Amino acid sequence: MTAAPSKPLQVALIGNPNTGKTTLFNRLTGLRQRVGNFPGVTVEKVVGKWHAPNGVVEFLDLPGAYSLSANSRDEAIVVEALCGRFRDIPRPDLVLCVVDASNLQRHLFLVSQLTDLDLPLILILNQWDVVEKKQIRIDLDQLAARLEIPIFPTTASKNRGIDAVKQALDQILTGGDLPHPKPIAWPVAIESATALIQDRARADSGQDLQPAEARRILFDAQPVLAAEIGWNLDACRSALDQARGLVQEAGFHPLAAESLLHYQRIRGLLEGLIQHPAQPIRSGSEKLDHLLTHRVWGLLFFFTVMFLVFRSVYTWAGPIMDWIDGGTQWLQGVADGMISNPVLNSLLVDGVLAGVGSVIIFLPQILILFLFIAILEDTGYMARAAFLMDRLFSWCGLNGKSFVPMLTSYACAIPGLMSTRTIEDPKARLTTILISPLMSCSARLPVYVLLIGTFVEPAYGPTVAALCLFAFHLLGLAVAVPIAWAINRFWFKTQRRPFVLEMPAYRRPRLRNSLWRMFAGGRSFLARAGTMILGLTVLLWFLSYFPRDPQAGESVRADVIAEIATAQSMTEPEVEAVFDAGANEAWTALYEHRIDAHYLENSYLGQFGRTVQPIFAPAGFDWKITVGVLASFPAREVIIATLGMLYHLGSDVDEESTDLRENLTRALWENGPRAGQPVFTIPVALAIMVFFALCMQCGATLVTLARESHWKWSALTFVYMTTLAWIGAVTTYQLTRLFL
Amino acid sequence: MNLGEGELGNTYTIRSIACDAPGAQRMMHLGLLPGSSVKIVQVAPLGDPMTVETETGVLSLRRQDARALDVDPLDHP
Repeated sequence: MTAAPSKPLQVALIGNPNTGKTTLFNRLTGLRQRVGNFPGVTVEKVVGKWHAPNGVVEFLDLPGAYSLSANSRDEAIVVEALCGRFRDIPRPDLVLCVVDASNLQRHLFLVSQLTDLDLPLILILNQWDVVEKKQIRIDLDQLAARLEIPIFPTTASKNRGIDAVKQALDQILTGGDLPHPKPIAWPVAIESATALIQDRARADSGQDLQPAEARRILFDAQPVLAAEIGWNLDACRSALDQARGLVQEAGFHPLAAESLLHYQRIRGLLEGLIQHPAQPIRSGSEKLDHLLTHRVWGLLFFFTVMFLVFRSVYTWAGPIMDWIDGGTQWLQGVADGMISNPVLNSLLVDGVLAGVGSVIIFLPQILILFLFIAILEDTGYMARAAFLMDRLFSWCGLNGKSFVPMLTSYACAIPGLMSTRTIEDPKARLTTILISPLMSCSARLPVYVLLIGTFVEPAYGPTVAALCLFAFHLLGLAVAVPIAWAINRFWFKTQRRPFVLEMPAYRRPRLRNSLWRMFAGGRSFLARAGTMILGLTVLLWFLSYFPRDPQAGESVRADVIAEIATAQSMTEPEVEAVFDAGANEAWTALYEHRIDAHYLENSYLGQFGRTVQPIFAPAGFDWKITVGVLASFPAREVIIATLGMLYHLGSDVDEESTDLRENLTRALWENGPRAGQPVFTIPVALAIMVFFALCMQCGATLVTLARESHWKWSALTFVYMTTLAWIGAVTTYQLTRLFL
Repeated sequence: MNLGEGELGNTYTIRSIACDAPGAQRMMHLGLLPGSSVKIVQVAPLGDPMTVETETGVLSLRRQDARALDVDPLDHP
């Protein structure tokens, strides 16, 4: 079979993690890549193109896998893609398997599994430089002859050997033969067990399984693939019992047969082909490893590295974020008034431009974090960090790799959630995703600063204020740990997930590779979450803009004029004349702030806030706080601007604003049982802070969480965090009211 | 004995594997098979997990998962 020049050659890239597969993919495709999702799961799918001299090659980068074995839907996509089960992804014409040249014995396991697929195969022995450095000699010609496929040694990180691979692909485009590997020879019992599964699957579900797919169901501890093809699980179980019985009769444990047979074959394949030097050349890896995983020095190094990562995400990103913020405001200022229609003008300025700004504001932190993650992973340190921290996290269903996402979430949950991709175990990853938004991110800080500065510090002094601020940062973590434990204990009641982590050899990081990963992280955020966050901002704009009464301007203006006239002992026409001339800026500003407040109060959002206020009454919230809480749904820090608007100061206030602080202290209940009493007391301030510490007031987090897992998990997180926040706020208010 | 009870610095030969244990299949895919030897080269500060050197690479295992591996200690010269 050969591909016609007009039709692109479909090539799938597969390999164990840490083999440099993605580096090779980047070398082969350059910047011509597209990011998407595999159908039905949240595993990222990256495809790339290479315009070869004689046609087009389309590459699909499959997720890193040690084996074709599938114990979860995420893992099943590799087999499904290779067997052409996805409608939108063509079955590959050729598979490029990337292996670590210095550890062939283990890496040939996946290769041996691939020979079972009836797909053309080319083997890439990557990290060839390590083999040369260790002076290991491998007889490539013999190995190629035994496997009956071409083999290419490469060092993708140094761009060595790539041209030969490209040449081979180009040759196939011109009509060269596709290399079919020599398949593994199964014992008769396994062949009959496979046939039995194929027959029963056809009878029960009408689906034709390829032998390799049937063997996945036969060998894997969990028959995930059966569910994917719509085979009734009970029917599958009964067929499986029978098939495994055949395997057992032949003297194999059904769950061990595959490993034993493949490794037996690999021993034969490699027999006499690898020669190690008489004196093995030791890399410094072991000594370094001993130091970096030492119980004192290792931990010290770990915390130093993590502190550095956090500081960088937190402080390096700050100036760039301010710059983006300033740029957005400048653009808004330029665009304001360019459209004469006030609704469209506001849509552009406060909806679309604000939305675009709210998306790219996350890029600096994401880029910096992904750069660090790339370095940590490429050097091999990430696995050591996970090793050091595992015990601390494993008891509540997280694992050692949860540390980086949780720490990062203290700066911002968006990069934090994205960094959970480093966690291989799907359940530990999901648990980390579900609790990361509880970490006190930097957007909560303005809320704490405003309320602690206005109410706690004047009453109790700076020491208590500082302690209070620290306590609010710990609150989320203190709540997150038991929640993680409960999720695993009561929700994921299924089998405990094993933790088997490969410790890759230490390697020098490559700048090009790290920068690429950084770029890929930003690209993935923009492609997968950007548009949704933008849409959410526009939706919130709509809810706080409409409905608008055209007469409102007149009536608010009349009120303001009357008010000023009384205060200044002037007549109303006199005040109106000053207004018309625009002579008193303070008065004009007063009017503008009043009309903004009026519009917000009467918008859908404002009306909704007034309606649901009774729900928040037990926490001591009045309707203004409630509207503030609702309006800050897209981003927590918005509550400052909203309170500014509602207290007639305009939206340009920040948490240090003395006007806002004074207005908050002076605010009184307008009606109801507490009419005339101050709205903001210390218990109310504490309740608001507890609410913000625990709630999910961040549209971007909600979108990213859904993109990294599923919408149902996003909804669950929203519900549980809001419930928790409400309970926390009510309890805080009711308890502290008794003492303070 | 099983590998979960193993001590730092010792080498063991795998006698048999409890194939049904969670993680057993993963370990077998990574080359931990009856007859192969494992050396415990590092134990994490809190006693778990541990790093083992095998013929097919260096792995980090939790003791609980390592219990699936029935091992014989190798006599040290």
